[in-house]
Amino acid sequence: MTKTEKSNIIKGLLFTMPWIIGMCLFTLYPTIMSVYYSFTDYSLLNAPAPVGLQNYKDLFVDEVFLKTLSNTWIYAAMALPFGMIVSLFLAILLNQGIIARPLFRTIFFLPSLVPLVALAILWNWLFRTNDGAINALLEMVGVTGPDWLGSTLWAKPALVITGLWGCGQAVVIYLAGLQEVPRDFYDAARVDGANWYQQIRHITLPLISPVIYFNLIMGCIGTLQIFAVPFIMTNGGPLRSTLFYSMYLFQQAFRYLNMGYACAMAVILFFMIAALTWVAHMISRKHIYYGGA
Amino acid sequence: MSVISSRKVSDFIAKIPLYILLLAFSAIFLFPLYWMICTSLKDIVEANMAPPTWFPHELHWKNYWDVTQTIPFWRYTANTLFLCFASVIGTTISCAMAAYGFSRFAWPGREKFFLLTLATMMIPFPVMMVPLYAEFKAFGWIGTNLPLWVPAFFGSAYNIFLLRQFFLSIPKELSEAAIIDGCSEWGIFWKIIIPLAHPALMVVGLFCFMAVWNDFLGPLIYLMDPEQFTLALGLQQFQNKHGGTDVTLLMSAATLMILPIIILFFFTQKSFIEGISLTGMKL
Amino acid sequence: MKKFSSTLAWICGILLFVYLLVDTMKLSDVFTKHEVVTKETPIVLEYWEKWQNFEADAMRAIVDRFNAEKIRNKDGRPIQVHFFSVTEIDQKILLATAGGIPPDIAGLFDRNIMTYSERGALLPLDGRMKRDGLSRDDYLPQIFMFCLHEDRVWGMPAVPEALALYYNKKLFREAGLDPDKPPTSIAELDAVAEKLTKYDEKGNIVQLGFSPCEPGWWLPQWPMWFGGTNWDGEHLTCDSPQSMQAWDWIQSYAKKYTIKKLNHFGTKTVPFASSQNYFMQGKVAMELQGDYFLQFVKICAPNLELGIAPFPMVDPAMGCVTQTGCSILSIPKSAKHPDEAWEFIKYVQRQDVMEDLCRRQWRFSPLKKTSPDFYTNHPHPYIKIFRELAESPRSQGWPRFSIATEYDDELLQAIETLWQLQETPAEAMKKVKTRIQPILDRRNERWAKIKQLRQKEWDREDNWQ
Repeated sequence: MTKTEKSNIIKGLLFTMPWIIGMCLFTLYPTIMSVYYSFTDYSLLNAPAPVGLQNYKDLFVDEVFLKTLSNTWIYAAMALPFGMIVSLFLAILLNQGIIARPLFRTIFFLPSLVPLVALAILWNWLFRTNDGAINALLEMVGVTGPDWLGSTLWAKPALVITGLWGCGQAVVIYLAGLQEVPRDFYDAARVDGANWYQQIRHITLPLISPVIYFNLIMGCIGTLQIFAVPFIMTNGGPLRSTLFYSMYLFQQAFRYLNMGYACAMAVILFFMIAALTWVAHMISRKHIYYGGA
Repeated sequence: MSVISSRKVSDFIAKIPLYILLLAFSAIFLFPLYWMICTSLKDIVEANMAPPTWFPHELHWKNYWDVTQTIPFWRYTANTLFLCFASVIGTTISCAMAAYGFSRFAWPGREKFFLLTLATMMIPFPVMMVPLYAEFKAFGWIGTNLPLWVPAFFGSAYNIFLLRQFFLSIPKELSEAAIIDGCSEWGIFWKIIIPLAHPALMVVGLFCFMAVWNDFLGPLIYLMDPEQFTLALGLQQFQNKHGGTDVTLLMSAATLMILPIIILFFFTQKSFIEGISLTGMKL
Repeated sequence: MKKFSSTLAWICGILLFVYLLVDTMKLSDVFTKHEVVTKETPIVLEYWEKWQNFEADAMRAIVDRFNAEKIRNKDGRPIQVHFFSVTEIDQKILLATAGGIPPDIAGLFDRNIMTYSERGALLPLDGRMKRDGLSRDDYLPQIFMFCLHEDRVWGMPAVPEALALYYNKKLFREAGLDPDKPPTSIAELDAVAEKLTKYDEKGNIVQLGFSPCEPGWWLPQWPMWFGGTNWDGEHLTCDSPQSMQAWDWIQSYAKKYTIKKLNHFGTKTVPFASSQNYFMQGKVAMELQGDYFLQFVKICAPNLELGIAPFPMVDPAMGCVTQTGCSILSIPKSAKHPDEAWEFIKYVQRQDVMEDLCRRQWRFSPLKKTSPDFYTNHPHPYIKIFRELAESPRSQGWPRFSIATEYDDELLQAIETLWQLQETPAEAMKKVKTRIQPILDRRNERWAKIKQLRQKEWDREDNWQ
């Protein structure tokens, strides 16, 4: 090893030292301990007692666990495509060479700045059955609104709508992606007689597919952890129809003090996210167009 | 001249349906915010009327004053601001350092550590929640705000990744020239890279600020003393008060909580939008 | 100029940050509080309680009284109690205890006692009681049982709670009913409720006679009024014939009035402690409520013409029962000042202090002995009804076993399913049992393993001879 190499190692380690310590203390150690606790019976008040695979065995016959799992995936299956369609649609609208674009962009972006707690409290109020603003608006057009947060059928869609309101970040991201698509492509297509649908289908979508892909993956990972909004709006009800994965994990850990059980759930969550990332990576290699970048 | 303007006019006319659509969507997006402010200015009887009134009969500005009196609103704000500032300072410094170490010069092991860094991005908070609680308990930090800002001084994977991308785009020649001038590595980092990376640092700082202002789960499990509550936690506890809460006050509080973020946004709009576009594009 | 303004912005930012740092981290204390600990330096206890508003004020008054008396600990230092009114106290105390920083005095719900004590989170108090001449026999056994688990005392009563039927006399009169003859059986209650329910021209409910889900705070306890229980000391009995009768009865209301109409009526959307409350507004005629509720009514709806009677049983021949409960003052195990905390708890047990507290909160006293003027001087004109109900031998509280939280959560889910007519009561209760029984078995198994160890630990902690 040369002298510069040596000094580079020292320099490198010095610069990254805070992060390496932080990574070990606040990420790696907790993750490893999570795996360890998942094989124990642990309440934080007493020392962990090993129980082998018991927690995992219990999990897979725990109806509530399976319910939270399906709730989470059903919610993701609704929220992600809708979110993508709405935000892409808005971004395409904004990309049509309109005046006052920054104004409209700001309007769509504003709701995504609303802190989650305030957002949840606000939509709780909007969704009220009798005197809620949404049902009052529906009443004006002659529709009797459902009992949004009180019915098992409508509680999840209500949360999806709440989520859609905050899609402004995605709009901005898509808009940036759209602006990188060269104008000439559209001009050429128009000369060839392509209509707007063909233009979107064959030019826009393929060219911004990396952006869509990225957003879907991040959205999926985010959705698997959804906590604050349903925790405040419905606290899992009615009939656990909005009890999501992280909420049940929290309940097991800090309501029933079953830390071992909660850690087993955490480990499964970790593997789900890892698998998801891997699948996405595989798909992206085959089907995503990365242009010249 | 007239040809151009008439073309512009016809162009505009062709786009009228588009504008109608945009205006309709704008109305949908703005309505909840309008409704929040509208409710916050009603009195409680009017707020609970069915069907609701679309504009307050009388503007009760006093609600805003009342809410700062019923909950320790300024206390919460100060607590939240402190956490935000501390986290922003900690995150930007530690992440910039790590990103520098990972990008500007080669050293054996660099790639391995960086790969590990990328891998940790996949670990969500719920996975670490329980052991972190046990760890902070061992540190004696439960019930203090330390768990909410000290870790920020030890970096975060995503921000390191973002900054590294940015640092890589800065020409190598700059550092080389500085070395010839006898500048130390720290000098290069502090005097050359940091000033150049200003926009990227701004983005990281802004998002960090937003994340901390938003955070609910962290304060929920670590904070015990109402004196230390953040706005997010204080607001949720206010809503869940045994016996229910006056909705006009709740909406006033929510408005007050959103306001600083919106002000911050209008001052930093450019970096904000750029930052978001940036974060979404790469990977 | 630009440079100047940006420097200024930086300076302002840094100053603000430093201010926040000093302010939120209480750094000023570090610099100023170097005083020497003398005999007069008070020992400050942290006391967390669940109550808010005037209920909290009542306890605060007792705390002030205690602080004013300057009671001293064994080193002769005065004890001061700091009172905190905490939202979602269950959650907070659990988190703090698990995190190793509990308050010195915890105002627990009776249902927390079993879980906390088995997990080793509380200090047993028998030894201290004996030393200071307090006895279990001084209390109503129906109330003091809430402080017990495994035949040890884990906390002392603060205020007890009992439920009864609150009804609106004016609405009774309007419906042609005798306002001085509240229903005496469940069947009668149903009939009266029907008469008291009014609809508008669209068929929507505008006035509701009664609903088991209104306010719906004690749903799992309804079997009691049918002579049943959910826990017989060893088994889950939520599917016993009596309990099933209760669940059927709950569901009958969902069928009779339909969920849609009840939801549209929408009592849940207004704050409980306000004049908007449907009972206070005269939109709901009858409710099962606690002794303390009268104080809320007097504050929020002073003109309401109100009657209170024991809640009817399915068969009047069975006598009367009520759901009882008790707020409990406990000392968490890792509390910093357990001895001083005990001094405060003991102080609250003094007959005059206890009666002061109960009067302020409009409740009855958990002590067997009451001073002669306690009832004559009591602000609650009906308080004796509640005390008598609580003394009824069949009155019960929350199931007394260590997974009661899980059981109650599960029962609530089941009741919601049958309320929404998604399952029959038999199906719903079967599900509860299949879910809770394995958890219970596991808990028992584990408890059998560590019981000896715990008992020894507790003996050691409780040794005051």
